[in-house]
Amino acid sequence: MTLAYSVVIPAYNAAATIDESIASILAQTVPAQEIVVVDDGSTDGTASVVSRIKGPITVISQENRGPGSATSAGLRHVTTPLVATLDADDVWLPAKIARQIAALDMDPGTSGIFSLAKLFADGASPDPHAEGPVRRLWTRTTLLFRTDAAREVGDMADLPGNLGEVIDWLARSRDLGHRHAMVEEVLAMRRIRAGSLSSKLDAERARGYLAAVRNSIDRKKARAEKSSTEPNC
Amino acid sequence: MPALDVSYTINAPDVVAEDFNGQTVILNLADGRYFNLEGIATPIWNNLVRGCTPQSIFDSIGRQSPELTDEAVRFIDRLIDLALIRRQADVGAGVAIDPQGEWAGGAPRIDIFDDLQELIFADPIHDVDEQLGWPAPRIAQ
Repeated sequence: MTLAYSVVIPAYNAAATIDESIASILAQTVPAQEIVVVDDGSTDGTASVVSRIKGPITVISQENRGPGSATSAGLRHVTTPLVATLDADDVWLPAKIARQIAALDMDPGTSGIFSLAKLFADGASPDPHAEGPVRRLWTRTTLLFRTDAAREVGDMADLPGNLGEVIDWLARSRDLGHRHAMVEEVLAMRRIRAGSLSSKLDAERARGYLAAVRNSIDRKKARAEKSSTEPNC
Repeated sequence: MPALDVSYTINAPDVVAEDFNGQTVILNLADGRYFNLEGIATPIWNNLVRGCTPQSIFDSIGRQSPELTDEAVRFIDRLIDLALIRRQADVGAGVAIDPQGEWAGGAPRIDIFDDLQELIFADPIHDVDEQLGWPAPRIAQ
């Protein structure tokens, strides 16, 4: 039996791309029960673009708080047994959810499943047959989770620079003993803008990642402390 | 044995570090490994990346906690082996920066973790320009 799923799209000033993202959900061979767009205080008319699209779409509007907060608001709204997430500038291939649900069905012990994604340049059409680097993508765009497991992990916490929140959330999930799996097939397309960053910017932007790994270290220390104080009998 | 009278610096841009209320966390973006410092590893690290020479650090430790000097040498060697620091080319002889802080907290230790490598690689640094919105276009690697 195919389980029902919803999709959460956190969006901030994504008017230029979100229609393409939603179209790729509506083109799934297994239709979504609900698409939840969380408009995180956009000022570019994102909600108005979404309102013109026909489909089972719910828009939640909130003040600008960050991608983690917006994703969490969507996760709290979901009522289906499975939940997927998608960045508002990426797209899925039509068989994405069907392949992932089939893989989850074969492995009831898996909490979350991901897929490969091909990168495409901003401004180009997301053509899966075009040449492009392929990544094993453990991120929001490929994530399909059992909703109960996602609720157990809790909210996605925003980190400095709006980076690293998915790493932090998935690390917390792993630490709860959740198993994640990868469908080794390109099922999504990820938008990339060419450019370069100075080392100063790298250090600044890496602060979210540093916060995520600090949280991971703190959890390891807490576990070690707990196991050392538990009676040895 | 590290070069004693040269200054070292953090191996940017691959390596980034932050002090979280006295807890130093280091991340190597090039390989996704991350590191936790314990004991006097944090003051050694802080003084190294300020430009203090290893010799000045060993001298300072030797005055307060001589029993930790050998381990401090091994710790700095480890930082070099792990490519977390590199020689600072533009510092000439005669530039002396006195180490600061207390050599308390026990032997230096560095914990190395690689359990988030795939997650860190999957989430390359994004462009989060306010005008572009987020989730925003990523920078090609």
